[in-house]
Amino acid sequence: MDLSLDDTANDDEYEQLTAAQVLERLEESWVNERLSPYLLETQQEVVDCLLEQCQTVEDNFSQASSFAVGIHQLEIQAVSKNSEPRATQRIKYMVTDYVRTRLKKIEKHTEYALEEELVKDDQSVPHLSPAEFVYAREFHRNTRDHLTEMALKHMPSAFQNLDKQKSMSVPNLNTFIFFKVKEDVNDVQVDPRETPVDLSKDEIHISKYLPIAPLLEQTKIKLV
Amino acid sequence: MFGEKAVSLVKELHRCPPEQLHPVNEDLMRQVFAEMTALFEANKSDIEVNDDNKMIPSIHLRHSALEHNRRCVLAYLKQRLNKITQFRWDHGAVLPEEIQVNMQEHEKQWFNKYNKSLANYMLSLNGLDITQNTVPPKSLKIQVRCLQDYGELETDSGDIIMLTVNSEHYLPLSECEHLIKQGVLQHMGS
Repeated sequence: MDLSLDDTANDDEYEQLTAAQVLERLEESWVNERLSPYLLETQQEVVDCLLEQCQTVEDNFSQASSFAVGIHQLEIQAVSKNSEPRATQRIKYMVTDYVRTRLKKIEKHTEYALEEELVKDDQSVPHLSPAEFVYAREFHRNTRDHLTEMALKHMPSAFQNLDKQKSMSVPNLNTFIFFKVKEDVNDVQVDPRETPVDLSKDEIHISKYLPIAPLLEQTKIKLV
Repeated sequence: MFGEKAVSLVKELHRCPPEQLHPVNEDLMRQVFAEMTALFEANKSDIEVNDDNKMIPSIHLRHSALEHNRRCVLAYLKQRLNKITQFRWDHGAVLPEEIQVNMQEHEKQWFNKYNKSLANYMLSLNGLDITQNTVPPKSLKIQVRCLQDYGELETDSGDIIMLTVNSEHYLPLSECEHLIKQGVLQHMGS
């Protein structure tokens, strides 16, 4: 599986992961996604990969013991613990809840999400997967059309256009979150008025979301 | 007083229980629109007649009232959509009759489009139904009791089960979750 999250900036483009590692990655992303105020980078590859595996495991359930065949470039020695349908049920729950959490956030902050995506240059990683982007765009257009048809059209002409900046639902990026440090990071500027702090592995901190969001994207910390 | 009608729209929605949907109060909405038009006309004539700054406070007041009204109406409509969205996740693509009758024509159109977007999105995930698997699975199969004569249910393994009133079955959660939501089956021991 190609897990290069950023083709342009990343030298080691092809990462090979075991099934267990993919699962671990989803689990972390899922927890992060549930706890963060706004969408994180999409983990579409992980989702696709796990879904494919669930499907294969379900198909092969009758011959589960012989399930040691590689899917794509995955090494599946760790799959033994997945090879019962109950485990696939759990994985499916995690996967669905992960995408569900994201969709709910998209529905809530549709305009904001679309704006964010548009101001990004080609270099940066999109937060939305292509399918999510389509979904967001359709949802936005659909809702806007509905509101126009039901209300705006009946209002005085000067009030028929909505000011985007005012009507947009913006996530509160200053909300406080707990996080655990995964690897040592030095000189983190949490507050511009204070001296930078060093974060060492396994510490747990509470902070505003915005200053530590880049660290979260680099998976140097995780939310707890 | 200005804006009172718009607020009562919002209040009305607030009073509606979460699992129900009242019909759109089109009458009240029309009154709000009429109020807005009147306010807007008043402002327009004030601007045209007076070119000194005496009228500015009253223009400001009316303008705020206009914005307030618009905000309330939009909040009212958007909140209804949020509710309908929630119904989609709870009840599936076909909403119960008692909800549908209270949906306005445009809302039905919105709902159909929403359904389509959601279906397209799920298609991108190999057709995974993301409205299912909403609770963490504790066990693979669960004991359910049938609350109504539903007829035959074909399981993924190809077996056909007759769902008749008060019959009890031991089924995989993934296959009966949607029936529980529809109220055909009841999860026993929960």
